[in-house]
Amino acid sequence: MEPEAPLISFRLDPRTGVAPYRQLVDQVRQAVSLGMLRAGDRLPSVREVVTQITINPNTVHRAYRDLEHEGVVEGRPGLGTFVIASSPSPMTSEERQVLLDELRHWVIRARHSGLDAEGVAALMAAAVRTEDPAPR
Amino acid sequence: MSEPLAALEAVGLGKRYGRRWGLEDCSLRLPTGRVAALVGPNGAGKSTLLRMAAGITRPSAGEVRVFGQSPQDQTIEVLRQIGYLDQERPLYSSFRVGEMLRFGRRLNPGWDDSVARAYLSELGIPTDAKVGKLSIGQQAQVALTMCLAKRPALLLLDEPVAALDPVAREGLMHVLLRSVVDDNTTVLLSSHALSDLATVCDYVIILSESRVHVADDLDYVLASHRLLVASSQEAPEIPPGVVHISTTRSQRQTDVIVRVEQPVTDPAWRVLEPTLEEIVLAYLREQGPRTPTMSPGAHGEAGGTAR
Amino acid sequence: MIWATWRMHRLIFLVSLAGAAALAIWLAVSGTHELHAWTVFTSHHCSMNEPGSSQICMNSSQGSDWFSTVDAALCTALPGVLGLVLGTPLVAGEIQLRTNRLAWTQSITRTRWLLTKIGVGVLFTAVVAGALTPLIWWWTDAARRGNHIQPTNFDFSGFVLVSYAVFAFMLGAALGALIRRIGWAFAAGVPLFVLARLGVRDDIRAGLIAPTSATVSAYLPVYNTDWYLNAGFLPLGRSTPPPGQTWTSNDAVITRCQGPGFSGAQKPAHSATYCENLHRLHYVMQFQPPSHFWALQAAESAVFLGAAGALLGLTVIAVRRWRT
Repeated sequence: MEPEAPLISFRLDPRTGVAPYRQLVDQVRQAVSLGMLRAGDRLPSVREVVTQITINPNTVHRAYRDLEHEGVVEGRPGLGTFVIASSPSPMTSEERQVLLDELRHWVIRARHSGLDAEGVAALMAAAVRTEDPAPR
Repeated sequence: MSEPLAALEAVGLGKRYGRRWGLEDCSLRLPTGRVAALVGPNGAGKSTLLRMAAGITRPSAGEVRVFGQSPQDQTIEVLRQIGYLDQERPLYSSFRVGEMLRFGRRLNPGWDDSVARAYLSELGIPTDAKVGKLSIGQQAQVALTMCLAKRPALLLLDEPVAALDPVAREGLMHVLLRSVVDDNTTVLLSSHALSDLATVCDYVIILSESRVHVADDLDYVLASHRLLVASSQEAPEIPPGVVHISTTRSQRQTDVIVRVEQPVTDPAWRVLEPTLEEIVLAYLREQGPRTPTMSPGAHGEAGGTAR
Repeated sequence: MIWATWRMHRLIFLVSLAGAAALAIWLAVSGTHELHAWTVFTSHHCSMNEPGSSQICMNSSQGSDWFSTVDAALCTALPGVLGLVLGTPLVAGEIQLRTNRLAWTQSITRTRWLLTKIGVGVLFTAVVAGALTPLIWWWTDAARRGNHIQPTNFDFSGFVLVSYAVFAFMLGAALGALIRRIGWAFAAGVPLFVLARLGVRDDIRAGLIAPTSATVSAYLPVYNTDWYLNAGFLPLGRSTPPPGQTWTSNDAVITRCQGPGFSGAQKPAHSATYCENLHRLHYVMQFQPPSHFWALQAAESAVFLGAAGALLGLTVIAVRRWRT
């Protein structure tokens, strides 16, 4: 029934304190913004997801429903759930490498200032939160 | 309002052994398609509840219904809908695995042999092996295959992952979840290791000291419990309008798990959302009768679904 | 379920079959030996009353006695052992191993599960017992000179064997369902079966079919092939003692009438016939003749099969109303 392998695989981290369905939503959005998922790609079916990770099927349904409300995906009965919004400006690998280098420099500076790994992560999370345009 | 038929419904269900009640006053309503976790310490009555739901043990009080029918009626209709895995994984040890399948095939009109063989080959259990010679984990898996191949609408599994290594455990959960997706199977499984079940279940039944303390959708359970934290030196009063579940006191900090109907606004307490594990432990930790701070009528709604 | 019953209890079925076959071979051998001994006995004109007249007579008579006793015991024990061995594991075995929790959650009602198991078991028991019946009949002819109606021989002559075995089977199954342990069920089944058999044999069998009564001259020999029940002096016109009297009530009357000197070799004062006429008594013998044999067999089989039916009902109820 689904001959090709799923395009992405999900991962659940039980320690983050983030609800499982929210983790799935975030991973899909991340995949879209990184260009790994493009418009027209089919998300793994609920059956495929529960085979990858040990998660309740209703959780998957709910994550896909949320993504549909956010306009990221669209469900087509009998066919599956498909991505409809691509990242506005999909990154090239060169652009990604530039960003990564800049980030590395920043991390080295932060560590030299005395921050430990957790302090660095907390600082970054704060910055992301204030800059995040998506509604929560 | 006409409600769809619950997969499993119990009203005041109890079982007495001599003078002792193994399970007392158990009420719950498990909707179809749920994956339900039955948690509690050993001897709390989990196996007794499952056996009564499967129709093997006769209740001493109350009643239990599977899709509206009593399993005690022993009609073929209700027997077909139940798949039961006993804690002791009884099998005929002189049979070969293939003969166990034949047994299932002959006694169950709804038997799907291809499902059974596919699952067994996935696990690497040969059909000509003698059941008595298999390892405990493999026997558990064969016993489970017997339940799954029946394609029942309700699976009652008593500690299905207890004897399994982590890989087998994961494989089993995947098989169960695929069955939920494909057939809308309802699963009720008991365990005293909650960590396996936290991401999988969407309905929770907490059993302790032969009584049901919680029997509800996971979302409702998470939303209706709060962890209140305060300094031990200040020792503020527990706010009114909550049901106290358990208190953990350390030198500096006091943690209280409570059940709430509305948000807690008392500034003396920091209000957090407890994890499922914290909630379960809170119920299991407390021994003996708890004194509710709510009015008597609101406490003990273990069903919580009288709508 | 039929296949499942066979497969589950295959071992005990085969063991019973082997045991029955061993018994059959043994009986064939010993029965032949009996026939041979009897031929020797008669050809040497040994009389039953004087077997010590020659060494050959003594050997052929004693040899057959030993075999005869052992084999009779085996044949008497056969139905009970066969039935109990096959019946007790039927329900109790599954309960002990907890496989009833597996069987009762398949898509088959408990009643059908039980009745199929019992059906297969009873059929097997009846067939094995029935197959041995003609052989044991032949053996009785050989070793017991065909005296089938005597109580000890009746116990294993004819189709009543089958009803004993079926009764023992149902007893085992019922006890197994109630006691739930094979060992204890068997231990309870043996004395209960023995009691039932002795009870029927000693108290009920004689009255199942009305016995024949005949007036005879006292002291005439009883025919060997009759089953002699009672004898004594009864008032004329009666074939059973009047209420309040027993068969031996009038013995003293006749003895007194015959006068002193009766005991020993001295001739009595009056003849027995004279005393009978004087006191208006006659000597009646009550017995079951061989012609009643098959009717008695049928009646006793009915008793045991009826009891087996009652036990079946008990077993069904016990399984359906299972509490634990």
